[in-house]
Amino acid sequence: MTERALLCLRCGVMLLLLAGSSSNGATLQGKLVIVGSDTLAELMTLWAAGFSAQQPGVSVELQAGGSAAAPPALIRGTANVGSMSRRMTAAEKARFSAERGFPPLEIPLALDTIAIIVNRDNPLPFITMPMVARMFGDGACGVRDPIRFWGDAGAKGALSNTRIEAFGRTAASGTYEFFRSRALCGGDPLPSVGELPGSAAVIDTVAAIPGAIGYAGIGFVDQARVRVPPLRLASGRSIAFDAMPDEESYPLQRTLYLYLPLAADRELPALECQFLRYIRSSEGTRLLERAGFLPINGANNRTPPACRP
Amino acid sequence: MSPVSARRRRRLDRGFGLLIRIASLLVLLSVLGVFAQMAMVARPLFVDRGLEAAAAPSSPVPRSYVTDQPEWVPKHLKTAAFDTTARHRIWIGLNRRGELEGARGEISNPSNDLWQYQPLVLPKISFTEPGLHLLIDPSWRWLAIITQAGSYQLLPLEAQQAPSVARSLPVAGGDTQYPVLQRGLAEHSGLTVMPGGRSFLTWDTFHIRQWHWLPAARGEAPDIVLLRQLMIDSAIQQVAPAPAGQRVAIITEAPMLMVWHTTTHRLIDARRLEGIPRDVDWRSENRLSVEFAGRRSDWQLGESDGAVSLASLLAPIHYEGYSAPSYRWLPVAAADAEPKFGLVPLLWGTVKAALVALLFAIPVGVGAAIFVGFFMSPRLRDTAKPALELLAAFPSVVLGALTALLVAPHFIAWLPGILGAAIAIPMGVLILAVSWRSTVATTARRQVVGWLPILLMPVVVLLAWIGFMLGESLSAGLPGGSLVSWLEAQHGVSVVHRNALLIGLAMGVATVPLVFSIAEDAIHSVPAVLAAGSLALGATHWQSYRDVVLPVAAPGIIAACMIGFGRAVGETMIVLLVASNTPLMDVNLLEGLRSVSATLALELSEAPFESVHYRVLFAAGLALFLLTFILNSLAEIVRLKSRRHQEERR
Repeated sequence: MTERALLCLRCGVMLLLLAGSSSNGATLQGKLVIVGSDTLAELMTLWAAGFSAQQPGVSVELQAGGSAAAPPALIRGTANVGSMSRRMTAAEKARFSAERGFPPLEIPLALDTIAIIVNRDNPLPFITMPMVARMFGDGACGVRDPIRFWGDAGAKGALSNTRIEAFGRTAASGTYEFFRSRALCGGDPLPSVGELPGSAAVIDTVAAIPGAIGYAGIGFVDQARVRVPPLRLASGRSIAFDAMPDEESYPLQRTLYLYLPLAADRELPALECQFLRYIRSSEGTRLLERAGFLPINGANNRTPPACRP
Repeated sequence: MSPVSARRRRRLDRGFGLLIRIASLLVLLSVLGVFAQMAMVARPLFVDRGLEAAAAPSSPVPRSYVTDQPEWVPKHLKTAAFDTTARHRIWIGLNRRGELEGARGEISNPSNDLWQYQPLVLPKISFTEPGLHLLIDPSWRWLAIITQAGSYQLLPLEAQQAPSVARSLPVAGGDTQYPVLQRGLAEHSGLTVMPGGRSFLTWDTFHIRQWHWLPAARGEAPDIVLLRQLMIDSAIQQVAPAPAGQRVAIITEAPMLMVWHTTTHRLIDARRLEGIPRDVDWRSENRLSVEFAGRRSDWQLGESDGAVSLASLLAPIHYEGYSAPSYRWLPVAAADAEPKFGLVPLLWGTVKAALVALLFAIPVGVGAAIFVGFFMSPRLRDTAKPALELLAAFPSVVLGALTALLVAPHFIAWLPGILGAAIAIPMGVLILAVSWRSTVATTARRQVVGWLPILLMPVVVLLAWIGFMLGESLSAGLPGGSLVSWLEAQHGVSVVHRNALLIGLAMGVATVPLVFSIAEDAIHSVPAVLAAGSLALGATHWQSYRDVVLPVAAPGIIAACMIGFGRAVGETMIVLLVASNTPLMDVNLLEGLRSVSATLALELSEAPFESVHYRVLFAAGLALFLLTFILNSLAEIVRLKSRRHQEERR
């Protein structure tokens, strides 16, 4: 055969293959960009790896800079999935609605627990929410009298004259915002509260500095390096670390969310639909528990029964 | 040389000269381009777009989270407080008998939209005055009942009985600290709560006043205090705060529409309206709608109008909930919270870290340059100089990470020892130098001087060890048991692990190579004839170096310090990794800091594109850029002038 004929044959075969693959639903193509929370970064990485193993034609890009990055990315269209470790505020939802005409699709993912952590050698017997407000803020939750030294907080012994060094997250973090609204009642933290870029950095810093106190999700807590003092409620009951995820009255429990820039009543496009099915599958739930979160079920979790090819 | 090749050479020279001139012009243009781009991004902060007439939106724009009631809430209860997600609310009202009633509701389950609510336990007091306003304090613990006359009562929200704490707002006359609320409000008076619940506005004919809640000590009721007031020259008819807080739309009798930004206390714009306005309403954060008799007109504001001014960036501002004006950097991400863009703590931290770095880098760098230039043997100089300059290639990220992981956890424990060593080494070397002159012969001295660094190394290590031990034992002898507890207890100095001294030391290590190479360059470029001439006239080596060479090299050494300062000001990774990024403003070297460069690194990628936060970060970066640009240019001018001066001398 002539060279030209061979070339035509090759082109024809390729075209046929392409046509065949586009009508075949098994090879999904596309790029999934997930923007948002640092708390969810590990879980998103696990899910991304599992999902692209299942769907080889899909590539997943992950940017974890903080929950506050998700709503602007969804509005601008630079992300097709937004992960947030706090619920989107009514103002952020309104801004999205003003741009797109409909509110974003909200999917509650999992339950996470935030623990107050201290150094391993800190003998603090227990901690209460007013104590946290007085250590991290000035005048938060309507109480003044800041606590500056560990002796005043009840930690007797070698640390009693040591200054309390509080560490938290940067202002873009959903964990920071959750802590501010729950533990500081919406008030401002002290300027001396350190701002660290990730929950792992908080754990590292609290483990290294004897007089440090911080907050992080329990999935990050390594009990060999930091200690979680039991939380005493106003009723007098203490909640120990192991019971924190299960106790309903533990005040620092939060829901983690996924947001999609799609209208709730319309059909989901194939890529997002397959991703949601994956994360609700048994493998996805297993990875979720491996990341240290509790799965939740309910009417607001849409498991698409089948996706259009 | 043939005339052809000479011509060709001249042409080549001219061509290359032109190329170099074009290249340097391009460099200058690109620097100006960067400057211009940053200035364009920061410009909308200071140049308001103002109120622009906008077309009515084609589709109905949803109202920004003005809370609507669930159907089961009785009509006489109004929303008094809500959180940012609007799923946790308090309703308060007066029933037909004038008694207080209220309920607290929450949608706590994330999987459904069911309200869980419980009635509030309120004291059985009936109020018969008309025009009462019921407000909840920011911590959701107290209820304020404000009368039109200006008096208010505070009741705890969950009390069984009613210990009422009746307090009057300051009345006319008397020497109260704040201006007064008139005893009887005028006819068009009203009250509205600012979003976020931390402050509220009251207005009469010509004044709008912003009042905020100040927390009290534990167990006591909070205070309501005047925050600021605005005087307007025409009668106020309606006041509407924007959904995100801070901006307030005002309709006056003129008829005019005005927009007031509370935090920066600026009137953003004022427009004359055509017709008699009935109502003003915010459609979104930047969009206003004024309702007339049969029509509506829409107005659009720029997103960053009024949000920031030079005063708000550089001067202390009185924020909601704070007892006094303060410098704060807290550009919070969530809505309803007042963002605080005070650049001064960042600039202070930047300069503080840079100065501590220079405190370490200048003696070490310039001293090393003088020694290498004057006294070092040529063989040792050939190894030492490149080695020191290679230190400049050491990535600052690695330096920062090593400092944060290895040094920071132990810094406070080692502090007395480090201070002891820092004093012992120079003192010990000085004593050695003085005794050395009197004991060792001149010829022997001159032979050894070139190799001093190698010979002195074990001595320096020994001195450091002695100093460390001395420092520790002295500190153990202080009342309190250690230097740190003595400072904390006796002097109230707060000491933290990741402090300015540590950051400055790490930055100093990164800056030493730069200062050294520029200073050494300056010393090396002094013409040898000067030193040779002074030596020939009978001066000793040290005399000729000190009195002849050093003054000529001085401008270059000063330039080295300025360039080192510029480098230290722009250093990002060390501050980011070693500091805990606390925007504190004090002179205490043992307290933390936050620099502009670290703030840019942490926040620029998360700030929403073209938002106020984004633009303020660019403005801060511009300030930093200008500072280093001016410093480096001055240093170069100084160096060039000194070089020309030297050539003229020749």
